[in-house]
Amino acid sequence: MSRTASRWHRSRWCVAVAALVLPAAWAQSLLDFSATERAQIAAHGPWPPTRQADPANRVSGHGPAIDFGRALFFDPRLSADGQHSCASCHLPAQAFQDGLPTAQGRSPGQRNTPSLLDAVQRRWLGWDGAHDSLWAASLAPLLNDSEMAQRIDRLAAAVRARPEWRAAHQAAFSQPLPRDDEMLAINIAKALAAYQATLVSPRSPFDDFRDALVRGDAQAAGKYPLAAQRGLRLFIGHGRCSVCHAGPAFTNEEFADIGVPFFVPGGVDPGRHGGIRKLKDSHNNRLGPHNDAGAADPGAVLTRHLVLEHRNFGEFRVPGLRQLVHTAPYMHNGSLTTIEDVVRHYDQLDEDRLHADGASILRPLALSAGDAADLAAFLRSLSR
Amino acid sequence: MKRCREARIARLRKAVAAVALLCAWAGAVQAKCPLVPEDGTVIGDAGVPAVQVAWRAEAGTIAVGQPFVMRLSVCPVDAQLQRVDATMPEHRHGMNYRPSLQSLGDGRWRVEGLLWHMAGRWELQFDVRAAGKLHILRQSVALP
Repeated sequence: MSRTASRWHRSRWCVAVAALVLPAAWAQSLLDFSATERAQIAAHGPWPPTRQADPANRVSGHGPAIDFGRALFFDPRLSADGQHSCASCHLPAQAFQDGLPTAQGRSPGQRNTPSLLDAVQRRWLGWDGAHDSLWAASLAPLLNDSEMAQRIDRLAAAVRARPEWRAAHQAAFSQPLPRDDEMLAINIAKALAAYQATLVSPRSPFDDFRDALVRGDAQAAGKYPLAAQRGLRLFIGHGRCSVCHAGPAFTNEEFADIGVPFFVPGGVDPGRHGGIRKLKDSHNNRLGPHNDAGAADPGAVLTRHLVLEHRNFGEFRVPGLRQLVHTAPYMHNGSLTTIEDVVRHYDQLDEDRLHADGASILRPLALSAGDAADLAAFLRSLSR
Repeated sequence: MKRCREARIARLRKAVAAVALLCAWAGAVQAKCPLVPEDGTVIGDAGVPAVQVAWRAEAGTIAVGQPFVMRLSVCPVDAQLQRVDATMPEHRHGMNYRPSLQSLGDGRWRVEGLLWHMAGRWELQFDVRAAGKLHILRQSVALP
């Protein structure tokens, strides 16, 4: 037998042995998820979602408006003192949040700065959901004394004074600056929203796993770390995390009281209760005159049917969990520093703090150290 | 003259056909009592008069956290749907929204503003007034 033939035979044996052994190895690296679990996992995708323009914002998805919004977002001249831009608190390098427990604009705020990634998908914006569109949520910090501290007339004057912004507005809205200051401010907010609508979380290791599982590719699915798989099983099972952190964005887009204190210096933060009141009182909600889709806006249906209830007091937004690694610290008041702290919060939940009348949706998870580490591993796998 | 009469007849035929089509459509969409599974998920009571509701999600499915519209048929057709609500009895909370009801005539209704924000067991409640009496129909629905 020639040397070449001998090599060929050896390599053929290797291939045959590998064919027998590898599927067993892949099988070992993939947990035996049940059909129900697989359906639950599939429901957390696909990602990214199909981009849809916001009918309430006529320049949503429009290139020149996105460019105008991007320029405005990073320009401190938009603020009253010329010192603060949107990007001062929503830093691109930090998933468009600031990494601080609570916001530090012109003066200290009382809530954690939320990431702007995937903000376009949010039904309600802000920890209290006081806004029902990205453009309305973009206008609020411009006019908030603790943030950019503008007034409508000064904001309009600042835009009118700058030829490059006048030109950018013309390109974005196909019209010169409106004479009405409020209309101009609304357009600025809509351009800012058009830019922020482009900020989407990247695909994560979880997405690769989920897609592989859906198409029945055990080899690819098996590349997802076992610790993350075990954590995922806890997330959708014993932990019941997916009851609220549902769907591809890992949020049901609603509000909950998870026992995080809502006391703030000088009083309490009413959370969703205050948010609903603000939203209903707002001239700039989807039922107002600045909705470009008018009454036909499908997004206005829930604003129209929203009810204020006592139980909303102390509820805060169920946040999405994508890019979680990059959005610390956590909770509406930024009181939890690490992902492990978040797992510990649910592990040792103080049920007396929860305002549940019936059977608790939340209960202390009482995880072993290994389970807690697995759950943290899964949560980390939602980030790239 | 003859051409003019033929044109009139043709117009008349078209009108008759249109009316026939409309009648056929109305017959097809009118709630027929008793309601059957083809009308949707049927629930009812055995009171006097017997009241039935058949409902279905307009989009076919209900997803956690997604608003949905419900289409209903009510028997008897002159019964008034007064309220649709849903709660999670185990958790003693309901929806965060109050649905609105729109009568489409002939016992058919459209309900907007529904959203189930958690997976689990929801209990649907339909308040129907028939012959001056309030009937409360309930149904348990598991949302995966």
